[in-house]
Amino acid sequence: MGGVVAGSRALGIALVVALAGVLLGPQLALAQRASPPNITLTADTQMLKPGDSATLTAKIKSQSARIARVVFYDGSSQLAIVAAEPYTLKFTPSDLGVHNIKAVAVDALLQQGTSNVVSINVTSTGNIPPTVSVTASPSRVNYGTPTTLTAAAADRDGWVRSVTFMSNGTALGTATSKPFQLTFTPPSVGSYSITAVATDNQGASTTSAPAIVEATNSGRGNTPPSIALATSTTAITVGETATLTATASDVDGTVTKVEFYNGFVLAATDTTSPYTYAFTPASAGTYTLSAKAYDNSGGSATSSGVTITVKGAAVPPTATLPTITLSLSNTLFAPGATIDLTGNPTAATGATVTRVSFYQNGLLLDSRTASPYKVSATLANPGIYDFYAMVVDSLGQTRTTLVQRAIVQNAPAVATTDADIWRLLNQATFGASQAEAARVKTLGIAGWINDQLTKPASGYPDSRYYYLSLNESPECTSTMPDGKTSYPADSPQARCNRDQRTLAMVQRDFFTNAVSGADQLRQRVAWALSQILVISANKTDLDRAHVMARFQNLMFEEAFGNYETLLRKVTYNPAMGVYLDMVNNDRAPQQPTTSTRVPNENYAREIMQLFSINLEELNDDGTPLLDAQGKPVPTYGQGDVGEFAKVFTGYTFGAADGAPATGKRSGSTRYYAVPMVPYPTTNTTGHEPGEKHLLNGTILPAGQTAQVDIDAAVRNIFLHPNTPVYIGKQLIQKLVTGNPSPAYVKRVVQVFKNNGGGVRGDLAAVVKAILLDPEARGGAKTASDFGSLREPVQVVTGLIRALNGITDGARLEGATNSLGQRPYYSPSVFNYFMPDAKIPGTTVLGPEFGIHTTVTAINRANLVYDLVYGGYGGDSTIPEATGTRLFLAPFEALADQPAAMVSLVNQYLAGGQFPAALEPTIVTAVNAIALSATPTAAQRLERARMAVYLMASSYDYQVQR
Amino acid sequence: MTTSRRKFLTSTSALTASALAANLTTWGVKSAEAQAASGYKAIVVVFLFGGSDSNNMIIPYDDYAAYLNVRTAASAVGIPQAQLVQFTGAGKKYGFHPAMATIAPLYGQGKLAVIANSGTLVQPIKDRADYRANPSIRPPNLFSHADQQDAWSGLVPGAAVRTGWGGRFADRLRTANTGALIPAAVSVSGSQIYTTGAQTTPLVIPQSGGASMRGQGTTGVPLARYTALKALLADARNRGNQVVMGAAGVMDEALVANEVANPILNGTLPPVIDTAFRVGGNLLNTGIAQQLRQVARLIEGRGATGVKRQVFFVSMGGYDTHGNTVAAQTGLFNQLFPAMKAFYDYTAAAGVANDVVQVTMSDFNRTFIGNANQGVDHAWGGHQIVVGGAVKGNAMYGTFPDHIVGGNMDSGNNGAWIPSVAVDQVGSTLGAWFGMPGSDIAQVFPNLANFSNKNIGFI
Repeated sequence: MGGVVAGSRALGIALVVALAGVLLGPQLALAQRASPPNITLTADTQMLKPGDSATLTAKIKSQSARIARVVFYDGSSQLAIVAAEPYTLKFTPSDLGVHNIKAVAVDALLQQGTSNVVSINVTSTGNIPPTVSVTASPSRVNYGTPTTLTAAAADRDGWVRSVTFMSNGTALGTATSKPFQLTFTPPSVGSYSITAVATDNQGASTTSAPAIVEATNSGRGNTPPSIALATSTTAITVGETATLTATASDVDGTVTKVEFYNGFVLAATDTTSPYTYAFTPASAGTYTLSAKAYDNSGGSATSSGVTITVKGAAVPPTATLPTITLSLSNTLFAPGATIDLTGNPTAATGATVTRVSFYQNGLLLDSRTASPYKVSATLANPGIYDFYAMVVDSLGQTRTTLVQRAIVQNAPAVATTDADIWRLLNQATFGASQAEAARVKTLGIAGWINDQLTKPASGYPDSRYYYLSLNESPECTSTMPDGKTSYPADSPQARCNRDQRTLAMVQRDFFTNAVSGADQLRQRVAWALSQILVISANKTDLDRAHVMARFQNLMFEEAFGNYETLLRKVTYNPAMGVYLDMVNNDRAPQQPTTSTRVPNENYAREIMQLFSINLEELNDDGTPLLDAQGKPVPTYGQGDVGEFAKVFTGYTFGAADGAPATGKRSGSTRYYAVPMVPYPTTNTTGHEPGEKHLLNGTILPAGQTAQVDIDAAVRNIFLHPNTPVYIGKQLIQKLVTGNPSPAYVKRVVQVFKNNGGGVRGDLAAVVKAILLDPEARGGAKTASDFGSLREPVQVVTGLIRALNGITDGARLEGATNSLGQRPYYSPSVFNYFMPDAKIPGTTVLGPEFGIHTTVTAINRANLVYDLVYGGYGGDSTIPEATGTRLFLAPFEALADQPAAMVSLVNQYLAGGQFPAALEPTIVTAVNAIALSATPTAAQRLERARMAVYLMASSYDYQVQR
Repeated sequence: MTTSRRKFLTSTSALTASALAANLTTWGVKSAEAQAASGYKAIVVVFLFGGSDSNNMIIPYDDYAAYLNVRTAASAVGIPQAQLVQFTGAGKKYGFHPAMATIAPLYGQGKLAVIANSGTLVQPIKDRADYRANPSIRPPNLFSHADQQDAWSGLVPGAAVRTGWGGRFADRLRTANTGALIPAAVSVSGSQIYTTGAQTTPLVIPQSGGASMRGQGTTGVPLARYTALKALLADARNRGNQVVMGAAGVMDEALVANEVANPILNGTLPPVIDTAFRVGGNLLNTGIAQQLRQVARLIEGRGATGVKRQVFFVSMGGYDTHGNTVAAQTGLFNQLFPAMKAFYDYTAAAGVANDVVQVTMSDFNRTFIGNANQGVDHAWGGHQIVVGGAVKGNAMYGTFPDHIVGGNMDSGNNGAWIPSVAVDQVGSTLGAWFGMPGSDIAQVFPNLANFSNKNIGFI
């Protein structure tokens, strides 16, 4: 791929620019650097009477990004927003005097351009409303037969723009030219009062005197009524009522009555609309009800039947024990804080609550014998405080809550932080914090990275994810032995079921590791790799804790290992085997045969497209390699996929006892704790024995074992020239910046190809090269395309880390899911977002913009709001639950000095990098919360929350750069 | 003076949604009114992510033997002939998948048409020999999910700005949509290429309800909070960094559009929608039904939004059936078709059946030959359906494949049909129905010039 490159690249760029011109239109030539739009405003007239209109037209003269909207102003008052071309507005002032109009264009990058001012003068003189009368011809018709309505309308000082015909107050239609006519067909017998509303060219309206149309039914027989029956519900319990409503009408008369039938038995009669019947059966069963309508000429009609299922009355459940839950007013405190403990007890059936006792670190704190069951405790010193509550009822029965944890901590000292250190920590950890910044200062940037490379993996230890069965067992199930009722959520059985048989604990551990694990860099890289080598719990079995845990541990093991090793481990992993159908993938049956079946192509395709080389040949700097015609060069074709599909055949699930497979394992022998194993080849099953043609002319001879073939295929892919650049560039995007320069990509790719010691794919070397590159390091970054929108999980972890918060990880996966990123639940193998997504309206790559929409942008602000305004309470079914809380005490202390408070928030949250010029905007909002002479704790808290919320929800914080 | 002066707009502070809507609708521009499209029309794209096996959606009945030749009982990827819902198209009998029983009657009523063997094409490919001899005329990256999804969505490979044909429709329809208060392209399915334009950005809405900001209000502390939030947002324009500016720009568009959209999305479900989406008294609550209800809400709210030509995108996932394809697809179809039928019923009850069309799209068809896991792999041309009052239904468009593996219509050896109809032809037919001039349609579909038939007539 060397020779053709130099000449063809320029051609390729020219092609891309030409395409941009076609798609964006001539006026929008996107530049990498943005400039505000240029806009002019004109009006078709500048002299008006009240009620007259002027048409204002704004034109965009130049723009550097898509125009989002144009806003028109009269003086400082907003008149209207126009979202798309033509940017015109009909301006209809009603007050006298001069109106100074301007237009402001806002583009996709929020840049504004303001037009010239156009003055419009309004002087007095009136408008005369139109005159109108209406006739119907003929005025007496059979129903269902048309008659013509004609309006005579005129306007003395202009013209009649429209006439709307009304029947009994309902609009029938509008005529806009003379003769003002409309055809009207009375739908049923009766008298219709017809009016016409004329509107003149200046918008004034006049309503005519009514004309009467009589609709009759002469010379035709009686038409029976029509009827339909509906029910409020189709399923009730004995003692409950279903309300049946019949809708009946008669086109040539009136409905005289409606009869309701239960089966063939008349149940009720109703003579006035709405026709209803309250059906309250005394016994269980299935009932068919119908209704029959009669008209004034004796005609009748019966509705279709409505079926209502009636169940026997439910037997009220009997409770055998009292219950209680405990909530803490907060979980994270400064020394000396007072905490409120609130118990919510219920007694067993037939008993009453006699007492609730509260315990602190195992010792009785206090008891309450009447509601509210609430006590306070003062937490003097830093440390961990465990609380629980016990209820005693009048039968002497007791029940105890799980332990809830409160943590008391001192605020760390805050130093002014070097911008480069702060940026490094946002690139290499799950969020910069003052504590970690201090470590970098001590070790130096390179020293800190080297230290991180030695940290043992947190991950998901096998000892914690011990339950290796896919099936329920007596100690790990949500269902009691009776097979009907559920175990309480805090029982050992139900907790085991949740933590070992779903992803709940994996996801909790993901967040607690990310917030407080020492192996920050390894976790960031493992998380990045998990978004390249994707599996998702939305497939059978992969939502089991040990299955996902063991797969993700590969990312932790090899985060600083070798990419080829990782790719091979992933290939043999049974979770990947299931996700992309390599498990139990059989050869094509030996020919000749009538069977038409080929090996499954899923893994063969995706290992090439997504895990290594992608679709088109790339230069080492990430730009496309083009052929002599300037077109991209495919890396492989459908034939290659078929060849690789043959390679990935003949593997099945391993076994707990290590027994070799004698055939495909499935059903109850699906086992995920060990890599997949080969099974024997026959004429129709197992590994494809023939020759396989790999990439770049490599041929695997016939008759090799499955493992030899697969290892060779993984190596073939790993050695392809695209692998270093396709994987390396994505790692840069995940860690540092969405739109890295070609030179940066190339520098990293050189290291991927050779770590300096002749090793290809050394991920530790690649990660170091990414983080130590001059494009990542140094003072303030001024390139207009540098940086990344924080991934959703980093929004959560970044806030908790920066503000010394705590979390038990519960509920956080749901929180980030609302932003389009539920950990380990990627919607497909294509990850939450793709590496080639762009910032809207620009040519700049921004992968995270793939999930930044008008919905998730709102949800992003709401997620910050939820975390700041209370966080998440502890789930008492998780032992020693803390919930998720931010530590706002340092800011609360400065509530009466808002400027100092906001400045301190800037230090904690943004390392002082939030623009100082914007701090006064936040101070203004903080001051909207009144303080008493002696500020209350609630007032201090609200002020702190306001400051943190506004800064954290701003895009100066949300973009890491 | 300031106190007595009457403004056309009485409120000088932030506009309420209703005030904004009322003002803009009464302020329609006269010259633009004359040009603006009359009435209302909407295209609803129903995307089946993963590549739906449409070989099992439309099955030959008269020619069932050719089908059974490959999709044998032993292959476990076929559907028995007795289960098919029969219909006649192009002079022969065919069968719908059994899970289409509820929607199939629309075919006979002329409200549903089948587009046979459509797919991604840069230019016509005559047959297998043509395909084999001329690699340069093949669409790029066939058989790849992401690329073929993008191709169906209208992405021009290598384009500097990634856009789809729905978004480009919205670009070209800006004049028709003068006065609209929300974007013309709406995705109920997250960020999608299909709805992204160069000059227009789509409105993305949740699967149910509207996206509302927490902690914001019009008085007191919540107002102070919201005022500051918007001031910080607006100041992003001064940052000179396109990541900050672009991210803030999306948020800004959300706040502006939601003022109009949220009252429509958060209100009580209009009875005309509720009734149509009830089956046996129960509201259909599958994801696809919820998405289509959101579309119905915005159609009901078209008076307030002011949109005249609207494109919607809804979707389902799970169609990548490399294993156990028959059971998996049947489960998905049991969600899909009742929802599409309910949505059609809504349009009929609301009097907009002739103004709204649903069209299915999917990454690709799947191989006609089954694989080792009773599944089917990635292929190419497949069948789609269009549903709506204006559809010229009771007909099959395009050429149905002969189902001969390795035959003239197969690009490879596993039954990956060479499409008879291009995505661009499907899109341009809908564009003509939208009332777009041919020159605009040609801009939207750069490859359309390679096809002689630019309106295949299904609507």
